Amino acid sequence: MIQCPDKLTIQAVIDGEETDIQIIDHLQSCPRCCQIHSEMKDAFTPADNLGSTVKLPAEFLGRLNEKLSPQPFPAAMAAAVIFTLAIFSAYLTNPGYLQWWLSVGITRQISYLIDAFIDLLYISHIVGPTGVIIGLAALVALEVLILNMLRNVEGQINV
Amino acid sequence: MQDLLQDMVKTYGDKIYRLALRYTGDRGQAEDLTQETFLRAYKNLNRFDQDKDAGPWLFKIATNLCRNWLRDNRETPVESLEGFSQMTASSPENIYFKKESEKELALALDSLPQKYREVILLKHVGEMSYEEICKTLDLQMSLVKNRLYRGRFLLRDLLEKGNV
Repeated sequence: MIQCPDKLTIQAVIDGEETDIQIIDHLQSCPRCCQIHSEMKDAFTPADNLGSTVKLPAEFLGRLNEKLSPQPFPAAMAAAVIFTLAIFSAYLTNPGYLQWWLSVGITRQISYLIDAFIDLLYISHIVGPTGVIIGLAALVALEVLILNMLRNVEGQINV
Repeated sequence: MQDLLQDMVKTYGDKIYRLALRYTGDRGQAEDLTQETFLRAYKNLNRFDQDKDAGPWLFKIATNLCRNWLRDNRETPVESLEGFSQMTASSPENIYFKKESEKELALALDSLPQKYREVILLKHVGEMSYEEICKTLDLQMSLVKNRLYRGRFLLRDLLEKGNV
C-alpha cells in the first residue's frame, strides 16, 4: 500500500496528468483520499465551466489571408511617381504659368504654399535638371521608406 | 509559409479565440486579438522551430496580447459576454439563469489575481497540459501546479461568497 498522495498529485490525477495506476487505485480504496478527491473535483467545477464551444467566425481565415496577401502596387507610390512626373514636366514649362494654373480656385493659405513651391522651382532652375532629379529621387525614396515602416503588420513579439 | 499558418489557425484558432474572448468579453475584440496573434506569428515564422509544437508559442503571443489589452482596457465589459451565451433552445428561465451564472463567473474570473487567471485560462480554455503551460508562461512545473490549485479554489470561493 502506497502513502497517501499530496493534494497536487490528486489534482494531477483529476487533470489526467498523473496516470500511475498505483496512485489511482489508492485514491479509490483510501476513504480519506477518496473524499479529498471528490471535494477537489467539486471545487474545480467553476473552472471547468470556463470552457466553451465558441468557434471563430467562418470568414476569419479569409480575412487573415487578405491581410497577409502581398499589397498591390501601393497607391501612395503611384501618387509619388505621378507627382514626380508632374513636377518634372512643370519644370520644363514656364514656372509663372504653373503658378497661375495652381492658384485658380484655391484658398489664399494654400496659395502661400504654392508660392513657396514655385520659389523652389525657381531655385531648381538655378540648380539645374540634375539637381532637381536627385532632390526628387531623394524625396521619393524617403516617402517609400516611411510607407514601408507604416505597413499593416507591425511590432515584435512581446515576450 | 502561409500553408503552415493555415494549419496553425485550424488547430489553435478556436482555442485562442476562446481565450481572447474570456479576456475581453467581446467577440469583435477577441477576433481582433486572434488575428493579431496569427499576424505576429506569421511575421516571426522564421524564428519558430517547426519541429516543435506551435501551441505554447502561439499561446505565448496571445497571452501577451491579452495582457496588453487588459492593461489598456481595465474595465472588462462583462455585460457584453454574448460570446458565451450560446445556449441550446431552452426555457426563458434557464436562459436567464445561465446568463446570470455566466456573468458571475466572468466577474469572479476578473477578480482573480492575474497569475492565477492566466494559468486557469490556459488550462481550461486553452485545454493545455501542465507541460505546455510551463512553456507558454516560462514557469516551473511546481509553480504551475500550485497556481492552478490555488486559483481553482480561489475562483470557487469568490463565486460562493459572491465576493466579486
